[in-house]
Parts: sequence; C-alpha cells; structure tokens
Amino acid sequence: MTSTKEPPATNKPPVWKVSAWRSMYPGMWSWVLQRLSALALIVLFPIHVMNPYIDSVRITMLLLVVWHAMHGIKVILTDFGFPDRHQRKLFWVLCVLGVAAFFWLAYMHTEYWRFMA
Amino acid sequence: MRTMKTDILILGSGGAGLLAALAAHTKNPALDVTVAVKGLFGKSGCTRMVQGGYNVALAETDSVENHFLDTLKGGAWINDQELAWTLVSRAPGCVERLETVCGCFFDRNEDGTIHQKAFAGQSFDRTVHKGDLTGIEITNRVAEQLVRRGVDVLEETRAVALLPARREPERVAGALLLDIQTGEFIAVNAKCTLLATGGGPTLYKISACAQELATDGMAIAWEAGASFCDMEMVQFHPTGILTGDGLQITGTLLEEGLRGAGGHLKNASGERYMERYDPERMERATRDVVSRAGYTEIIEGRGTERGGVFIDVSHLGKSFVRKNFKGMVERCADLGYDLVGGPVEVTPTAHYMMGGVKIDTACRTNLPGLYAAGEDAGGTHGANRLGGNGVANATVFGEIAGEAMAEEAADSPLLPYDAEALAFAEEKTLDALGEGEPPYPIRAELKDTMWNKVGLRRNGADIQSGVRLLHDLKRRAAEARAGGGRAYNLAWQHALDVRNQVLVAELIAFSALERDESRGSHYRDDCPDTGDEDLYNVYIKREGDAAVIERKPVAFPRLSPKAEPAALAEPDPNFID
Amino acid sequence: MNEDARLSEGPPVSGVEEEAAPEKEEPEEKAEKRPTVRVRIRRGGAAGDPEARFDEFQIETGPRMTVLDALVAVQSAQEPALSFRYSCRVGMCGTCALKVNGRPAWACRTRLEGLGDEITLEPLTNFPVLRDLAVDMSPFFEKMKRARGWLEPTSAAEKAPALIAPNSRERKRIEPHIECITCGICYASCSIVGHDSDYLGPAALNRAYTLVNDSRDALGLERLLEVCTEDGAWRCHSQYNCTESCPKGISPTGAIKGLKRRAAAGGVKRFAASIFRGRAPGG
Repeated sequence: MTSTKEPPATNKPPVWKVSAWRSMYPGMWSWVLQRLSALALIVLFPIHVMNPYIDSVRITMLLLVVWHAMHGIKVILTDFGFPDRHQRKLFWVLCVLGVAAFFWLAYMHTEYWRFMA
Repeated sequence: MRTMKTDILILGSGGAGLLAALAAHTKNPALDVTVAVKGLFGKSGCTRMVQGGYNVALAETDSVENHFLDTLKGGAWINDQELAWTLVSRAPGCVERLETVCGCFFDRNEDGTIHQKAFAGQSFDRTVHKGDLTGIEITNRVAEQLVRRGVDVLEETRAVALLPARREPERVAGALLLDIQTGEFIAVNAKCTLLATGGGPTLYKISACAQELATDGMAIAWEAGASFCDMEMVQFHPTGILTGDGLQITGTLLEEGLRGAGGHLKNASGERYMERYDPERMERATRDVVSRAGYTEIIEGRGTERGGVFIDVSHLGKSFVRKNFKGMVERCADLGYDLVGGPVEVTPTAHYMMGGVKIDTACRTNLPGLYAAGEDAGGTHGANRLGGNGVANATVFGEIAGEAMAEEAADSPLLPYDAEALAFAEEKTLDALGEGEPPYPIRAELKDTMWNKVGLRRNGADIQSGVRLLHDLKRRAAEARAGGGRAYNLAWQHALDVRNQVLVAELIAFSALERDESRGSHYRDDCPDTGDEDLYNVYIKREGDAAVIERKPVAFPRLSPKAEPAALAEPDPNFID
Repeated sequence: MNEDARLSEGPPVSGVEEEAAPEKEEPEEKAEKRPTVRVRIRRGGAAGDPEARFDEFQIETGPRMTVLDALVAVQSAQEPALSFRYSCRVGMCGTCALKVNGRPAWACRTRLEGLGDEITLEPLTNFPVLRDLAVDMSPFFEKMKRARGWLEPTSAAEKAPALIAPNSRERKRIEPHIECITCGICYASCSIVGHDSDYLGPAALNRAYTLVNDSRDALGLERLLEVCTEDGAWRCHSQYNCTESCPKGISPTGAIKGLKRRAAAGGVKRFAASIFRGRAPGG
C-alpha cells in the first residue's frame, strides 16, 4: 500500500521461501497426493496397455484411480457449495470411502478375472 | 536526507488521519496529500482497536441534544462546548459517509437499518458498531478508499519535529520525518500539517493502546510551542485483560459492551463491588467511576493475587455472549480464558487522553499551519470521555481538519522552513544512537511512576514526588542511547519514544498538580470534592524552557450546568432494562 | 475453524514448562526457578543474504506468555538490534504475523505453552524480508489494489446507508468474510503464491468476494472479470492452506469458490444467450 513520491531503491529483497511445504494440512495432502497419483497413472497406463496381464499393475492402478477420483470428488463437491467448515471431515470421509471402494472393486475385479479364466 | 514538498502533510493513519486525507482529497483532488504513519498504513494506532463502536444520534427517538447533554455530563461540564457540539452534530453525517462513501458495513437491525447498541453513561442506545471489532471495519474501509484515490503514503515513518517557517517562526511549515525502515530522514515542506498521531497513554504501566503510540504528536507540538488543555485528564478503562505482569497483552481491552449488556464486576471474594461505589448505575456507571472502584478494590487488597478483579458475563447466556462478543470470546480463548463460561481477570488500564493540543472548531491550533485532530487534540470530552465518543471524535474532527486544510492549502503559498531548526532536530535524533543507558529501564520506571503517582487516585504529595522523579527521568531519557545502525533499529525508536513520553508525562503531572479538586477522571484523595462553582480548564504552554500553567474559566455558550433545560430529558439510569 | 490449526489453542501443557528445566546459568541459588525455552530466530535479510542465520536465545517463560512477549524479552534484554513488527498487541492490527515452528501465526495471540521447549521463529513466507522478522507487505497490498479491494458505491448507495437485513442472503454471504485484518497469514501459507508471484492470493480474492456480493457496489461484472483470471480465482487449487491457517476463522478458499461459481454461472448464461442469438460465444 506504500506509494512514496520518490520510490525507494528498486532492488527489493528477494522473497524468503523455505518452509512453505512444512505446514501440511489435509487439504494440502489431498492435493499433493492427487497430483502424484495422476503422475503415477500416466506411467502405469502404457505398461498396462502393452501387457494387461500384470496383476500388480492392475491393482495399483485401481488404487490410484480410486484415490484420484475421491479427491476429485472432494474438489467438485466443495466447488459446488459443500460447506468449507466441513472440508476436513470430507477429506477423511472420502479417504475411508476410497479405501472401502478400493477393496470392493479389487474383490469384484479378482472375481471377474477368475470367472474369465 | 530526502526532501519532499506537499500541500497537506498528515501525521498518523488512525481514524483522524485517514478521514482527514479522504476529506481533503474529496474537497480538492488537485491538492497533494501525504500521509506519514509510524506503523503500516491503516494498521497503526488506536482507531483500529476500537471495539464497541461509534456514538451517534441516528434514531428518531434520540436527538443530537441528548447526545450533547450526555457528553457534557460525562465530561463533568468542563468540555469545550463548541467542540462537543461539533462532535455530536456532525457525527450522524460522518457515520453515514463511512457507510455510503467508504463502504463500512455496520451491523443492522431486522429492518435493515443500522443497529445501535447500549453503552455506559448514556441516555440512549446509540452506539453504531460492527460486531465487537468496529475499528477494524472503519480503518480497513477508509484506508481502501485512500488507496483507490491514490493518496501518497509514507509507511513506518515517524515525525521527529515540526519545522517552523523561516520568516515566520510561529508558523509550522512541515515536519522532519524519520523512515524507520532505512533510518533516513525525510524533510517535508508542507502548507498545512495535521497532528493525528493519537495520544496513547503508553506512559502508564498498564495501558490499552497500540505500542507505537508514544505521544509523539503531542511532544513535537509542545516543542513547537502549541498550547495544551486539560492534560491531567487521563481516562482509565475498567476492563483491560490481565494475563500477567509485564505481558504484552495485559491491559488491552475487553469491550465496554460487556458491561453495557449487563456483565458483572466482582472482586476476589465474588462480591459485586460496584454496589458500594455506585449502587444506582452499578457496572454501567461512567468509566472513571468504574475504573476507580476496581483500582480501589485492588489496592485495598480485595483484588486477585495478580492484582485484578473479575468480569463475569456467564449469566447472560452462552449463545448471547458468543453471538454478540465473538471477538472477545476468541481473544480470551487464545489466552486460556473462557469468557462464555466464567469470570475473566481484568484490571483498570490507561486508555485515552482527554487533554491535548487546544484546537478550535476547525481543528486549528495556536500555531498557524498546524492542525490537530483525534486524541492529539483536547477539549471535546472534558474530564471524561464516553465510550463510543472516541472514534466519533477521531473521524468527525479528522474530516473537519481535512476540509479546513484543503481550504487553507488551496490559496496559500508554500513557505520554506527554517534550515537551522531542521539541522538541530536531525542532530538531536541522531544523538540517541550510540553508547549509553538503554531506553528500557527508563521506560519501565516512567510507567511505574505514572501509575503509582499520577494514576487513578492521586494526591498532592504523590504528584509532587512524581514530578521530582520525572525530572530525573527526563534527564536520563535525554541521554538514553541505542547501539546498532540506523535501519529498522527498534531500540533507537524506543529511545526516541521515551523522550516524548517523559515530556508528556510531565505535562500530565504539572496539570494534575494544578487541578486541586476531583473531577471526572482526575481524582485526588486530598481534595475529593468536585467544585460546583467556577469551573475551569487547565492550560499549559511552553515559554522558553519553562512550562506556563494557567487556569481559565469554562465557557458555557450552549448549556449551563445550573440551568439544565427542561427540554432535555433526564437520562434514565436504568436505560438498558 | 479447526482447533488444531491454531497454534495458540494448543493444550495448556504444564509438563512442557517443567521438562524445560533451566539448565543454563542460575545466577542466584534462591531465585525462583522459572522454566526457560530456547528461541531460534532467523536473522538478516532474505535467503542468500550472507548475514542470514539463526540466532538462539534462552528466555524465561511464565504462564500465558505469548510469542510476542518472547520477542520483546529478547529485544529489550538480549538483542536490541532484533527487528520485528507489532502494534496493537492483541490481534487487531495484523502486523505481527510470522512463522512459529514452520506455521504462520500472530505473535501476539500465540501462547508459548504447547510450542515445545525449542521455538523457531521465521519471517512470513512469500513476502520480501526487510530485516530479521520484519517483511515488506507492499506486494500483498498491491494485489488488494489489483483486485480493486474497495467499494465503488452505486448512486443509490451513495445517498443513504442501504437497508440490508441481517438475515438477508447478501449479509449472510458477506459476514463470514468481512472481518479480515489483512495480516498476510493466508498469503504466506498459500503454495500457489509461492509458485506464481502474480497470483492475487487469498486475502485479495476474499475481499473481492465480499464486494461482488455487496449490493451497494457498482463495479459488479467488471470486478468479477478482473479477479476471475488465470492469476486470479481460477489459479486456486483448493488446498485450503489459507483457510486452515486464518486466525480469524475466515475461509478465503470458500470465497474463491464463490467467485468461481459466480463467474461460471455468468459464463454459462452468456454462452446460452449467444447460442440463442445464433453467434459464436466469446466474440
């Protein structure tokens, strides 16, 4: 808000950046992990296309997709007016739901695979 | 050293400084307005800290006359009636402009009109507010408007001396400023200069003000030869929060609305002690009465271990307190107190200086070119200020000063200042850098001296001994030194602060000695009566190196204490019920 | 506001005081034992300044002491040259914000109890450092200015205070966002500000949101377009760092989402209208 008549020297001291990442709250974790899951999916997807029969890749991808989707849902819900004061709770609820969905889907998936075999 | 020329120089960015800048710019946008502020723009000073609100007669059933009468009664009839009338009559327009021009968003009634709440010592619920943190709303919104208008601001820049005009030593032609961040001087040549630095009785052991308020404005005005009135009148607020001796937050306020809403004050044994001091008005008595009662409880041993009393609002209901005093509840919670559920320890705290530079209704001082507004100016509140009249005073007189300065600056030349005075002031300021006694012990002793000798309950002998101690402190303050360089050197700033503080402390002590009666905030155990005859104001002025004190009779151009007109309704002491 | 996001609301730990028994000099044997803590303070200018370092100070603590008390104790008794900024002492001015153990907080309202016996104090992130703990807040206010953080009253609002009921939708939307004291904590906690120095940041957008909802304001769409840009509301990644760290319990993230909804709704309407008129949108 300062506007001086004779502006002070132009070499403003650089910004002090060190510990921006140190204060990690759930919302931040949610974001970071969603981005990381996206990166991992980009890596795994071509492997999966080339050889769809690697179980570990399929299961890992399922986990990542579920994780990514859960936090996508969080952003969508809050974007469309989900009350902010509950965003932390939403994070944990979606985490739990995500884990449950993962196990359910993994179970369904293995059953399907067994049936196909 | 940098030099600058401007039309209007405003020292301070509290309510008075901000409104003055806005009014001056609005009146004449062609003028060059510069605001210099000791802290950050809009964030420094005490208007920011206003909690309760802004007294103004808005309601149809209220009237400016009622507000006027309340102000005079609160001030024990020694107010400058023209100033008090200016205050109450301009306040409605001013508060409206805060909404319409600046964008303040005060609390509303159900029908959408501006809500007004109860405050102590008044015949009507006329305090406009934004929750319990009104000052933030006011300073934020007005500061924004100044940013919008592109007013020049010098942040973290303090005034160290007023500069006399070269050919007219009485006239003020600007000020010497010190950039705290760099330690460089800025000599500002201005047509008009406004003192709006706030008073701030930080020279008392426990005080409510922002820390940087060191009576700078009054001190430089004194050096320049301004005339002061009623400096003995220092208001103590009854409920400063008490967390521990010497802790920074101790003394900051729990707002008056807590008492207005029916909060109880209790001593250590749980007794509502106000029954013994003012059985009729109880906790809603004026601040001077309630503070003195609390102080008496404490010094007579009925206070808490740490030297406090309690405020208790738990009987008002949890949701009521949470809703209406959100800021206070959060503040207490951060400090480990539960305001909603039980008593909180409080202490009387030095809050406001009713005295100050004598001004006329256009905020002119006795020195041409120098204006004063807000707490730097004296006279409006007499012997005691009503809660809610402080921010009204700052904004109303800020506006007036801005308009008056815009008028003067439009058709007067810029006169050069006296270079010798400038060099002298510069040298004196730099003097405080170097090896010597640090300012801190001096400041601590000053605070204790004022608290014990010229505090809530005074007597002639104490004040005399206080004066002697101050004399010694003044010598030490002049020799206080801070090591280190010039850039952002807090110790240097504090050394300069303590000089100003001691200087103003002396004015308070001299004036307190002169007033040999008890009136409003000034209470003397050796002369406890309030004289009904021959009301007077105490004036003090510098002549050479001496302080000249003079009593002048109070003028009653509008209302005499004896002939209270029947037209004005008698305030109902139980107005809240 | 989440309890644990507020450093100052840590549990009233008494154990910490006792654990932190004074190990250093005990001048008098009978002097009452007051617990001490070690305060590490970052000194000097910004990163890269050869003077930059951490200095350590041992200070005595007591109940209800705050970080501000610790700073004042260090400055007045041990290191007069320590630079930091404070004014009101009680959470109203918003000038004493700094980082306490890595998280931004007000010095004045953050109690030492619960912070442990070693406390690290640093200047706010994302602000240019002036000296020690004092930062230059002008970039922050510059953004407030870019967001036109002031009311431009409509001609009706200029005439008289507007009638706005306390339970009206307008007031209810504005109220939770209006008490910002511009302390800069949200700005310091925002990782996006750290990456994109042009990003308006939480506080400026929060103010813009109150104005966009204010029926007294004449700027309307103009302001909305100003703040809903690549460097404005759309830049926010909903990380909630600002919301978590705001000592006033304000949710700038919520305000930013409100702005996004407004802009999106307006965009959809315009799009629909343009199709209706049979022309390409956006032209």
